[in-house]
Amino acid sequence: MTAVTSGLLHTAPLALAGRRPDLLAVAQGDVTLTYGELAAASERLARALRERGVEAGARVGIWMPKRPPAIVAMLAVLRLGAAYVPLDPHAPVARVRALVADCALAAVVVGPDMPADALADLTITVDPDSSAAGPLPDPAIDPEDLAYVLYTSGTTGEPKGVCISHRAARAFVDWAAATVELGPDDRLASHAPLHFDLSIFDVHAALQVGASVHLVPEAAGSVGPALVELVARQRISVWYSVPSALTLMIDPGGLLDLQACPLRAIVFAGEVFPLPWLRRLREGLPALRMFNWYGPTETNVCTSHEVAAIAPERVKPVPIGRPCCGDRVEVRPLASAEPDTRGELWVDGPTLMRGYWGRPPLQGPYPTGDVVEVLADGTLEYVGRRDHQVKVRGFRIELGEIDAVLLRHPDVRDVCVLVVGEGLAARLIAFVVAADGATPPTLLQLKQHCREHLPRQMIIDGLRRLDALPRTGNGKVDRRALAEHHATRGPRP
Amino acid sequence: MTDARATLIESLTRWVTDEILEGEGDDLRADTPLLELGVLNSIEVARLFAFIEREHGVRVPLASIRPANIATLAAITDMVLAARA
Repeated sequence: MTAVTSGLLHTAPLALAGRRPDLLAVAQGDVTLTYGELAAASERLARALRERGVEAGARVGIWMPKRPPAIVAMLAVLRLGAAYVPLDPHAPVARVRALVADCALAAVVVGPDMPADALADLTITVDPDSSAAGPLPDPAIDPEDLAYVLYTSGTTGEPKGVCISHRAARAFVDWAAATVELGPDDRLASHAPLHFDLSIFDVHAALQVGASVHLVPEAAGSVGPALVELVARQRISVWYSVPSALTLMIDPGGLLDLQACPLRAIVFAGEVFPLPWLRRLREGLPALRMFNWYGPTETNVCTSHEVAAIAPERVKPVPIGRPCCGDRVEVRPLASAEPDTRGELWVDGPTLMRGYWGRPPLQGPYPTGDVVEVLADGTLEYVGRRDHQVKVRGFRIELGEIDAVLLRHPDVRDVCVLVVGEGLAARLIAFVVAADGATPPTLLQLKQHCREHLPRQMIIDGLRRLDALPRTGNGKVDRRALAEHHATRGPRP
Repeated sequence: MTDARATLIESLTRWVTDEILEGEGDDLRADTPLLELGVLNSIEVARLFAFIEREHGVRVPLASIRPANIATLAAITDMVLAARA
């Protein structure tokens, strides 16, 4: 057992392994790891990594499906004073190779189901079950040292590694654990892929307090009934995911009809929760605490809103709330014509990334690219992406506002509006998933619905009916795939 | 309804369905409010009247095009029949 330095991401789980080794730490189906087993396994792997030359300050990839050995690998890397870099197990090998090179990974822990040879010419690959003899070095780790690097796809398509220090990670994790009042009796589901920042909460906040983290098998990730069954069977007390997973849990999953529902808190982030679905969730589970968290990977969670009863007349999505984790926000108007209550959200404070890997460190506040509205009491409402704020036929249009209106149509389950074409040929195309059992609404019906709630320039021009919206690996609507769908299917399918 | 009127409405319905609504015109009616629903804008109006001249040989004086005349397919048909007379 190495000495435990304080203030690090892995300080608490290692201390817990000494104090309460039999406490459940990680579970997936029948596979379980106690805190003691987690610490022992991570020490074995850390020694093996050390033997292969991984030193403090290095970066180590983790390339495997979301299973307990991935959590072991995270701790092993952290114990060496290195930073872990989760690699998407479903990404094309060429992309993974590009990340390995970009981040100059000293080694990659490769799961048995991955093609190990695919990276062998670039870096050292290590089996997650590896072990080596000898003592584990006890490097001096500063809280400012990197804990992990998360690669974001970026709007330009060029992956960028978001570098998060132990201090920044703890600023979020400690705040989150206190806000959701996590304790050793809690059982957190981990739904998000490990290379996505949502997983930081369930994995690390659970391990800070002696709670257990229950890894959702990838096969169940978007199957509503399977997710609800997991909640019931694993007696999950805290659920955190993107809203789209929760809508699938409501229908067809049947979450609201679950007998003796073990949940006590639900947290969602990553996208706007369509209000009709959130209303069902809020009203269907009145005893639960619910939170809407907001923050790009670069800032981690930086605002929070606890969702109380939703007023019947409310039509806008719920707010993203107020700054949290000690972060500070600033709203900068984008154009002189805009009211000064609306603008781009800039964030500064303890949860911010150090910078992108291989680029100059971040200086000062981070521009999120998100447009928000500040209410009189300082609460923030999300309006949309700055780059989804488009000009169509001379009018500035917020596509998210059209989405929100169309979601209020009773026959619409899910929707994403895109601008297709440029200049005078620009058209607003709604990609619509009809509600279960509903007759899919026609274009003219949806135009009429827009007409009743929106200015004329925001009435949609075209309609595509889909069985489901394409989503990226992290659960967000894949706008690029929608645009390609439109391009390949032509203007008239 | 006269044959000429019925033929014209059918022709305009098909054109609006194909050229503007991307085929989604099953519930397009003669009294559907085209301006209110953003079906017709100034560019589409110019294209529509070019089509009417090409296909039906009727040149509608641009000066006579007012919102009330193009609010619905029925109104457009009335205007075209009046211009033809």
